[in-house]
Amino acid sequence: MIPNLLTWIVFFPLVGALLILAIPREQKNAIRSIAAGTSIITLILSILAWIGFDRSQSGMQFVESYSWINLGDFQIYYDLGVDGLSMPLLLLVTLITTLSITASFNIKERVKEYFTWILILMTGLLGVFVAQDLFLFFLFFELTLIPVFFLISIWGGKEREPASIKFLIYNGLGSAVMVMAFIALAYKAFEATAFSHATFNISALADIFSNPEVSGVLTDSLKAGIFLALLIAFAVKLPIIPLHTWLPNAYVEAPTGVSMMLAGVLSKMGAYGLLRISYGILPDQAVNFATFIAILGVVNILYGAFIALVQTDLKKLIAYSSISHLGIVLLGVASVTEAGIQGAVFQLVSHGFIVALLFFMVGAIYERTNTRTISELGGLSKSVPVLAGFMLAAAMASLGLPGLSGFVSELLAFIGIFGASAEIIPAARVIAVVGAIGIIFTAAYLLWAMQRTTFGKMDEKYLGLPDARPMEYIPMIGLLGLSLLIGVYPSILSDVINTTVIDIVSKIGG
Amino acid sequence: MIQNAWLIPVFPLIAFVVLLLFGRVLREKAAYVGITALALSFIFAVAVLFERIGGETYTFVVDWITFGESTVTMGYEVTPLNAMMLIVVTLVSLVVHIFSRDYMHEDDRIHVFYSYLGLFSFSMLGLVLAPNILQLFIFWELVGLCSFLLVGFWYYKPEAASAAKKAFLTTRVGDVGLLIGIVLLFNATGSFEYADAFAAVEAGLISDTMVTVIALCIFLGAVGKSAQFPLHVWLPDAMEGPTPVSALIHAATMVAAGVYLVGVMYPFFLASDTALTIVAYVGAITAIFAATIALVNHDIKRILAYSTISQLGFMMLALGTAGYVAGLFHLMTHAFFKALLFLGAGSVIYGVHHRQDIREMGGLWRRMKVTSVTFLIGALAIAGIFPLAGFWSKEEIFASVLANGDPFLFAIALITAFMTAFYMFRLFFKAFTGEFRGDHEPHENNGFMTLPLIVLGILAVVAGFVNAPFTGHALEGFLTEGIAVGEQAHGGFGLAVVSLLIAIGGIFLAWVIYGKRSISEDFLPGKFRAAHRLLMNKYFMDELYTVVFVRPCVGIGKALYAIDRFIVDGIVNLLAVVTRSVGSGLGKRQTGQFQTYGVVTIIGGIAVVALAFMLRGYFG
Repeated sequence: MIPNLLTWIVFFPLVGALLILAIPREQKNAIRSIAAGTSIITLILSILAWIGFDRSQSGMQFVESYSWINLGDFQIYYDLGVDGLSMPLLLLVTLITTLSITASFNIKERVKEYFTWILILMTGLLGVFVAQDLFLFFLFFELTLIPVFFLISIWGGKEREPASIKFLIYNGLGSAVMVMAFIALAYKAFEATAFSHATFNISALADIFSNPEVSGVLTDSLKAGIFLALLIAFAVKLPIIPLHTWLPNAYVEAPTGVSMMLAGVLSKMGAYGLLRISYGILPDQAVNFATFIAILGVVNILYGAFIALVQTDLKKLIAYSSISHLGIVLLGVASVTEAGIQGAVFQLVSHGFIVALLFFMVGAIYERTNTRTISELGGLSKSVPVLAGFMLAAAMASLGLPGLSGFVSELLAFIGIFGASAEIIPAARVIAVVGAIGIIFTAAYLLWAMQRTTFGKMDEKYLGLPDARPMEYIPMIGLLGLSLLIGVYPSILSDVINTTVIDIVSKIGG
Repeated sequence: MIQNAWLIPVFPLIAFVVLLLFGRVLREKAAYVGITALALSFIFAVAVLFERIGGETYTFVVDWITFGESTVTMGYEVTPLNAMMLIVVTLVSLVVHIFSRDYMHEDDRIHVFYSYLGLFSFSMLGLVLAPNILQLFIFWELVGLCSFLLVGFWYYKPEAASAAKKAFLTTRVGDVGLLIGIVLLFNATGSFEYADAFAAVEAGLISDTMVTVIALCIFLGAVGKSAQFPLHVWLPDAMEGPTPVSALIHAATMVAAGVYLVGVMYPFFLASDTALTIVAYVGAITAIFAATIALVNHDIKRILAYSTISQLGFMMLALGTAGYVAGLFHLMTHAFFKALLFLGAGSVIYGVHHRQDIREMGGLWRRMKVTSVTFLIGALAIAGIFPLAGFWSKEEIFASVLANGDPFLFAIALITAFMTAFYMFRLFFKAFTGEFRGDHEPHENNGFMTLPLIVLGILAVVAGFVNAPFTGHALEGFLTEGIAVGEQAHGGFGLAVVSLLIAIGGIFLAWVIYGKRSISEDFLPGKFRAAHRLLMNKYFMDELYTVVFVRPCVGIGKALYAIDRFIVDGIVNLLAVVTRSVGSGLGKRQTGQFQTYGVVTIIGGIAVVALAFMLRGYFG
């Protein structure tokens, strides 16, 4: 296996970005090719990691650890590693970014900057999922903010400016809360070990916090406070209601490729942080907060679904549906069962593919019709049958049709929440039933939207629109194919996740 | 051969894939791809049935997913019940494939139509072969998708688009119940396998309440799929799809999946008297409810649709009164004669140039000989006339209701049977006898459309013999082998006479009004004006649902959206405005990005300073 594989994966996009900077801005095709080439090579590297990943092991693999920065007693380490939780997400980033770059070939303005930012964003995202040191995690987390800000504010729609500002304020504040929680974690651990362990390493912190000998200093209220702060920070990213209002604007205003990245992978950082850091370091709090998180999950599911029901803009509808779908993640996570947490990870991956496909389809249709207003579309099956077919398939995937990935994640999440122990979540079954009703609403808003866009009478002016171009087949078939693959043969994913999930649950349970 | 049972659903799947890829090239030749695939499936299904009767059995599974210590498998198995279903599904699907070649000939998306039919056949056969309830659910949803696609096949018609959505959504309500039932079952037994569920019940591992809850959740799925009251509203609208689809999906096979589901889970249902009683009552109410609507409707397809709902109610009623064989026997006979009636209706609609209103028909008997004779056979079969298929299966249902139900259920069954005979012959006399009332002269159709009618016509006559006394109730012996479903009731000569008299009575009344016209057909509606209006409007169920469910949901959505924009988001927007004005106040009027970049730098800076300060402050 390649030495320092994770470093290669994380920083290869940055190499590509530097390469693009060296190319004259007029050579747009060269820039596009480099961007695509870079992402494809990164994808191949991440596939190598996926193949080389030992599925029977629960700990970190491909570990890299170097001392990096000195901050007083504190050593910041360059710690990288992947386990069954981060491995699928790492591959998700490379897959979605590659397809998003393909989908961005029609960007005509400031091509050079666009792809530079996308590749920087890719490095940030990859870094978040492999960093094992809180400081490093924070740096990568922040590194995603700035590219997204520019990508929305330069290449976005009409309302791009307020949308990008709102994105920044929200996520910036979220990061501020997060960093404070990180400091509190590290500092309190330092204090609790009688100033003998100064560390930002996630698993080292987890060991300290679970050590009964030092628990005297670490009161429950302190732990709960830190857990809550982390929850707020990650809630912004996920997003959890009511910290979600940056999302509809950002998703809608962002150009198609960026919407795919935002909804497909960026939102996954929040859930990942929750599992890796909050659950990883403070497992006992995961139990205390379980009911709260489950209720948040149900609120997300229904709130997002109800609002999606009345949207007139197709892209906004998908944005709200995204909020609703990530509620499933919260339900699964809250259950602290193997099925539930695995379902949550499945949902992260599955939703990544499906929402990226949905945004891609809306982008492709907008490019042709110049509108996203649901009532102005209609009869797309006649004017652009292939695009309409994929649109319908994406909607079916999104509403959890068996055979596609969304079903597996919903099934597992519901097995989890229905089976949650009554001591952890008192009214788990009631919460679960209310959440399950959300499935009906999902079908309602998606099918209603399909009825009014792909079905129905065709507007004469859409006659003769060009149907899917060869380049468009790559993201369409790629994303739908991946969803189908997981839906038909979920073992391909569960093999990687399961051992780690068993480990997470046993730590929480024990 | 039985080891190759998996090929039965795979042939239509291949047809689907081929047509998806090459349909545009093949065009109307697509029909032959589909017909070939289904013919192969049918041949294999016959072979499998004979081997199963010979006592062979086969199960095959592979690992599908692992979570924690649980491993879920997928595969297929051949049981007596699904061996029978394989025959029903492949046979009806085959004849529908043949019929559609001419019926859909003028449609330039005929290849799409055949690809959907292939996907449907694959899904339905997969559902039947499933060895566990999760796999059943997967295919259950896929047949729902196919139904959606085929109801909305003429997507440019607003009614079709709306009906497709309604079908999917209404059944989705039931499906969520089913999914919850499956999840609860898994949590109670740690398995999705049918056998494990039955074993757990037998061993008393699941509390009685839980058994009832799970059974009712599963039944909710069946209520949606089999269009039982109160989730029946989608099926009549589903008639917007092409008529062969109505015959295959919305009469013979998919809608019967709910009945099949209860059949497959029968030992589980038997463990809960409450659940069985509810099944029986829902079935009975559905049966009579739908039959009353069929009494007054004028649309040939909708009359048949309500009749389907009513007959499915009969099957549920049988299952709810311990009539395991009776319910499934009726499922089989109904599949044949209802497919016959629908294809007959399709032939009529094609013959009279796409009219569906029976008031615009009449006198078809002389003009469409094959269609008329076969339709008559179908009508006699569904009415329950000796010795046609419906007679035997309906009589079995009466027997189990009489033996295990209460007198109220028995009365409903008899009244519904009377109504069935009446509305079927109302339809028959109005459409086929008297004078032709349309404007285009009708014509008989050619072989591709009449051959299926003849095949189904023969089946509508003989299919009942497999469980008649003179064959020693052969089907019962086959279906109950190795499965604990309790004693099956049988009626005697007396019950047979009663049921026959009721059918004849219904036909006679229809003849008096619509054949001989001794009583004006306006007499009864005029006499019971309010009741007639209620029936014409289908008990106002659609309107009720709009008011009770649809509008409130949209209202809640709008209210939440307003809150989301003006309150939750309002605060943030205020912040953004302030930041921006502060930014532009600083002088340099850049595009605004500069100022915002400032914000992030500030926030990031605060964070880093805070970090340094905390650490340095302590050590420094």
